[in-house]
Amino acid sequence: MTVEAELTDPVAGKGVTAVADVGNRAAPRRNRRLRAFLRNPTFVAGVAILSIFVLLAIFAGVLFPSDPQDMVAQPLLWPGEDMEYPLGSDSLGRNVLAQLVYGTRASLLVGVSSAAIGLAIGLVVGSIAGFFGGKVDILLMRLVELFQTMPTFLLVIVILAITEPTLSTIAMAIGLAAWPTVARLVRAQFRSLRESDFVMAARSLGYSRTRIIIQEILPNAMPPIVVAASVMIANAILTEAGLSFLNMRDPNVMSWGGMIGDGRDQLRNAWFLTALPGAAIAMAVLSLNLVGDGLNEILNPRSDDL
Amino acid sequence: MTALLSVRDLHTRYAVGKQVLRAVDGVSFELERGETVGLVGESGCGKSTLGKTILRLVPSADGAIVLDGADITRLGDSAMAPHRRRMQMIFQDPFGSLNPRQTIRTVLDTALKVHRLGDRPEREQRMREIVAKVGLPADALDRYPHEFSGGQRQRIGIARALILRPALIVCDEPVSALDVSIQAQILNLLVELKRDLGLSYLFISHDLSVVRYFADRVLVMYLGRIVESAPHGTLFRNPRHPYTKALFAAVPSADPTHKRSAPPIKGELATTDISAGCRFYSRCPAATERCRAEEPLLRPIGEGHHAACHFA
Amino acid sequence: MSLLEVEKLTVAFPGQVAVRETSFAIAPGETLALVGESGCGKSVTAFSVMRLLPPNATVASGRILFDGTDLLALSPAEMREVRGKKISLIQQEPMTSLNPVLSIGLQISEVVRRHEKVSRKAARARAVELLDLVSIPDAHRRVEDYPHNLSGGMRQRVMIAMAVACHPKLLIADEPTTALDVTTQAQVLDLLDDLRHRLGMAVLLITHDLGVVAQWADRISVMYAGRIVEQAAIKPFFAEPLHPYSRGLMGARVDVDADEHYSLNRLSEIPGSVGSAAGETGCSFAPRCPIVVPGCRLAPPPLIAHGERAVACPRVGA
Repeated sequence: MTVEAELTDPVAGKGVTAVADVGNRAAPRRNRRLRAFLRNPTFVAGVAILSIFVLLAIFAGVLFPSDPQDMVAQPLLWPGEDMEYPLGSDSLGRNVLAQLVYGTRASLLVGVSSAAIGLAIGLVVGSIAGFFGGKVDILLMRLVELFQTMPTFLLVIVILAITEPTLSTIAMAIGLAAWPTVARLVRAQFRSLRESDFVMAARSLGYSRTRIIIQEILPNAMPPIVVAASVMIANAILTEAGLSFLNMRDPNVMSWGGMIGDGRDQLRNAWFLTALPGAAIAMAVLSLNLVGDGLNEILNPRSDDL
Repeated sequence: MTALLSVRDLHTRYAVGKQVLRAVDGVSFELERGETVGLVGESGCGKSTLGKTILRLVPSADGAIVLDGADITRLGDSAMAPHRRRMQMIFQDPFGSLNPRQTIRTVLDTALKVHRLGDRPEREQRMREIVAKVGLPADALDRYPHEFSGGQRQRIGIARALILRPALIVCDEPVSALDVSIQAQILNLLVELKRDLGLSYLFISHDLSVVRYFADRVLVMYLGRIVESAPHGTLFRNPRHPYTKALFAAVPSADPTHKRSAPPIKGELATTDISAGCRFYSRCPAATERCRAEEPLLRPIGEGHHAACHFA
Repeated sequence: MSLLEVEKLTVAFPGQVAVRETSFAIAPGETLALVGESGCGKSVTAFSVMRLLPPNATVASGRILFDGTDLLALSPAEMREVRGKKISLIQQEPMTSLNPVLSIGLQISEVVRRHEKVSRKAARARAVELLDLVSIPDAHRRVEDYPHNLSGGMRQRVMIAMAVACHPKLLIADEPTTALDVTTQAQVLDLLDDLRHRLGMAVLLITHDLGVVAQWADRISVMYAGRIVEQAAIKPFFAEPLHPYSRGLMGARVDVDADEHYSLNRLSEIPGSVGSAAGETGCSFAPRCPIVVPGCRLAPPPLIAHGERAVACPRVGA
């Protein structure tokens, strides 16, 4: 149902009362957005957990100045056994807490950069296919389908089997496997927005195609893509963990998946070595999904008109 | 002096599945400088597509669009750019026609920048002028579309159409989404702007009463073709095509003592079955064998009055 | 006695009041037009009668008497018996009001079977009859059609068939022809008018089009910002609307029969917009009113009867 509170037309009430709600509707658009974010419990919870991980990743070097690969303690200390190593040590006597904290760094780095790569390719392909349509669209969508017929995880493994697994090649491989989903999403957005009246208006004003894509369509196509991005990061973290578990990992970098892989042999006598990094992965993925759900509710155009 | 706009045998086709929809199917007309031509018809008759084809927003299949003596039918993007400044569009939906993420300043300033019109202070001056001209408050520039009412958004749409100082404006149902009281405000504004800026309008509407008030000359469109065209006075006093007559008969009068006489035509616009004969054949109360076999062409029947009916 | 009597109805949404102390009555068999611009509360009023308000709306006060029973006091189960059987609703959008995956015959017979104990076969036969009643040609064949096979006007006819399936006493038509073309509009409204005589129902016609009101209604109630500002029979109203808002609406309207042209006359406007009513302590129309005096801004003027008609403006009298 339409809400009655509308602004007065300018010719209205010469000298009569100005409408009470002019002020509070006009000015603080940004504040209103911010309030919408803060009022959403799912989003707040997700962001809270996620920011702990981010802070740990940033300050890993401050918290644990020495290399997490260093053998510093007696092997296989249980959590709480020696308060210097509150989460215990692994079979090589490495500090589990330090490993976890440095692992955050690797996992987030892989997650974010692979999502960025996937987004970049997906945005370009999807927007071109959606905006131009016709033969370009058919061609690009066949390419997308080609990628989608291959199981994502296998595709990543194949790419990493060809190249040396380093942090950047892992991110690259995951990003390359993830872009088709983004491309489809972006294409659908572009196809509907391309026909909207404000894009027609932009065309009639003689705007170039690039300007229409970047300035008119893209900002309006972003909300579902932002939501998808948070889920992509989560998936990338999971994929990276799976890869490390299969030993397709950067041997010089500590990661959660790698910890699980290392802990596998001690599963019976020191299960915490796999449980702790497993819990970290679960928490990170959960927080990213919460952020995604929250964003989905907040950025939904239907809830936009507060 | 040539006409401002001349449309010759224009065709626009859409592929709908395997079928071809002839949205505009051979339309010719001229629009003189300072003239308002009303284009009236029911939804699906192709009037909106015709407007967008003329603006080169939808590709034409055949025919010619001549603006100011220059054939713009097949110009590429860059060759088209200077002509874009000469003709603009006002849209029906005051909500969907403005980018929700841009302030009014961005909307107007981008248009000026794209066409490299003036330096910063000049552009600022021009934006302030246009905003005042369409009756918006001066602080409107830095606000977003959602902060305005429907009527005000339509003023923003008008400001955007005028910022490049065009000669021709295609108005696609500019008031049909607005409340009656706001409708009158916008129509009066369009009249003022036409007088002050010497504009010409192609005014597309399904609302006969609005067209009667607003147009100098009226084209009646049915299934992609013009079926009748005449100066507004002539058309409304003496409609000759059975479809035009039926349209008039169907408009409810606000005078309760003036009850509608004849029942209006039966059926509804059917977009698919275009047979060999007259397009209006299946709904026409006066149809004959000849109408079924032979398509009537638009022919002169009086001073500036044309109709596509064998019996007009 | 009135069929429907709405007494001092007030409906509130979070942050605003959509309908304020609205009272009106409909006699059996009569067509009352509820007229106003978007957001004036006319649809909210109709949905209150159907008890189909969105969950965030609350009926703050008032009574809705239908045949002597207060609809607001009924349990949800009792109300479901009223809906579709005694009071029906047709909505504006015939494209979305029908279920696209069910045949129209099935959708109509479902309504019949919901309220009457009849066999599937008998309900089917009724569906064909009803389609025939709303002048759909070839009803026995059309009954198999799906909504997407039908034009907008045909769909609205199907909606009407569903609405009158159980011979309701009151039909609420919320902008029934706004989405239709003008030639189709005339057909559909003629059909509605014909059915009301044949089935003896009353119609609450919600519209913004004064032409529709003049041609197809018996009485009119004009709403502005949640309040009824004028109530009258059609002929006296169109001969001389009294409330300044009614006059403004009539003046701003372009009539197809009037000899008006932009080169000759300027259209009369109602300045401003409805938004100005927000926060107004007196008459909601005061910010836009041409005959406003300081007294208008003290308290909202009540709807006062002047013989057969009523108007909520102390500055005009019959």
